[in-house]
Parts: sequence; C-alpha cells; structure tokens
Amino acid sequence: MNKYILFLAQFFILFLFWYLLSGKNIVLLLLLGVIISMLITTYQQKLKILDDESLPIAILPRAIIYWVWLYKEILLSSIFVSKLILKFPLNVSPKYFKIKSNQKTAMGFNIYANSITMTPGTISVVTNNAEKEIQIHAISEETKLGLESGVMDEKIRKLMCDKDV
Amino acid sequence: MDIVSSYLSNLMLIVGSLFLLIGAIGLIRMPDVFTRMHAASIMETAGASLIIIGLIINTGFTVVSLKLIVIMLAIFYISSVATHALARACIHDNLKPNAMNKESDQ
Repeated sequence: MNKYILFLAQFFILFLFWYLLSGKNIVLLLLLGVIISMLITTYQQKLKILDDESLPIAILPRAIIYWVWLYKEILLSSIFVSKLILKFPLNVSPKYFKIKSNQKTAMGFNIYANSITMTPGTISVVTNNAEKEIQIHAISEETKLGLESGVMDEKIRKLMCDKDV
Repeated sequence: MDIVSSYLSNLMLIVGSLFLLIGAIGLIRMPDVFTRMHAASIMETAGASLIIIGLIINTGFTVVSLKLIVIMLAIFYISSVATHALARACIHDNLKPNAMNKESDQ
C-alpha cells in the first residue's frame, strides 16, 4: 500500500475514535482531535511502524466478507455446543490434536489461530509459527472433523491471496 | 417498521441471554478446565454479540450504536486472545487436559 493512503487511513481511524469517545460537536474538541491524530500519525510514520502489517487496510473489503462467514460459523457451533451442554447424561469426549496450516504469511497464520479460538468448540492451545502447526483442544469429534476439512484454512488463504501468490 | 425493529431487538436480546444462561450452566457441568473454556467461549462470542446487536437495533444509527460496535469488536479480539493465553498457561503449568490422558491410556 502507498504510504500516503496508510497515513490518511490511520489519521481517519484515530480521529473517528476520538470523535466516538467525546461524542460532542464542539469546534474546539474537534480541532484538538485533528491536531492530536495528526501528531500521532506523523510520529508513527517517523518510527516506521506504519506499514501493511500494522494497518492491513488492503485486505479490509475481503475481511468483511470473511467476518460475515465467521460469524455464521460462530452461531452454528454455539448452537452445537449448547446442545452438548444441555444433554442430560453429560457425554463429552474432548480431543487434543495437532493440525498443520497451509498459510504462507505470519498474519494469515495469526488470523487462522484466532478464528479457531473464536469458534466455540475449538481452542488453539499452542502455536508454532515456524512449522505453521497448531495444537488444538476440541470438545467433540464433530468439531475436530469440521476443522480438519480445512474450509477455514482455505477461506483465509483466499483472504490473504495477493501476498501468497 | 418501528414494531418490527422492536420485536427483532427483543428477540436478539432474549436469544443472547439464553446463550449466556447455557454458557453458565456449561461452566458448572463440564468436567475439566479446557471443556469449561468451551462453555465460556459461547458466552463471550454468541451471547455478547447477540445482545449488542439487539441493543444496536434498539437505539438506531447514532453515536451510541457506533460505540457499541467498537465494544463488540473489542470483546471479540480480547476474548480470543485471553482464551488462548489461559489455555497456554494451563499447558505450561503441566495441567493436562482429560483428552490427553485418554490418548496415553490407549
């Protein structure tokens, strides 16, 4: 991404945050917000910490589609785990296993591990970025199979596509 | 339109509260630390997000609803990192999950 676009995006996000927390349309407050957001963004660019990894706006349009899919997945597996909890003779057979991911970038791997933890029924316990391997605790055989089918991994590869190829 | 949105927001609030209740029951019923974390993750994803979406529909599009969206995003990010940190701390402290013991018995 162009560094001017990154600058503008970071400035806009910081100013939006300022406006949300104050919530008042007073000229002095808005002006102070503009000045402070500008100062912070300039300082970040001087420190060279403003890049594609700290502010991934390049993947934002695809990320929104991915979030909708992830939210649907969260609701479905919440219903599944709720049924498991409410079954009268409690019958859980948790599984602990390793899974290998096909991600190429560290950010894709990070998104994958966080998505696994966010979905009820699976928790990523230990991650290994060098081998791209995650140790996972799953609550039942079904959630384990759902993860091993690799649908989520493939979706995140699509999300990160411009960097992989 | 007003009636529809109020019914929809009430439905969301009720379903979200149900998920919170089920998560709380699961916290008591589950056998070990890791399976209890699964029950807690229902509460912090489905429960919290449905309640917040219900509140957003209730207030309409104002500054308050934008604040609620920021709160929802913060809950999603923080809860997944906290769950991972808790699970990793348990493993680091040599607390083996039930699933691991069964595999070593076989």
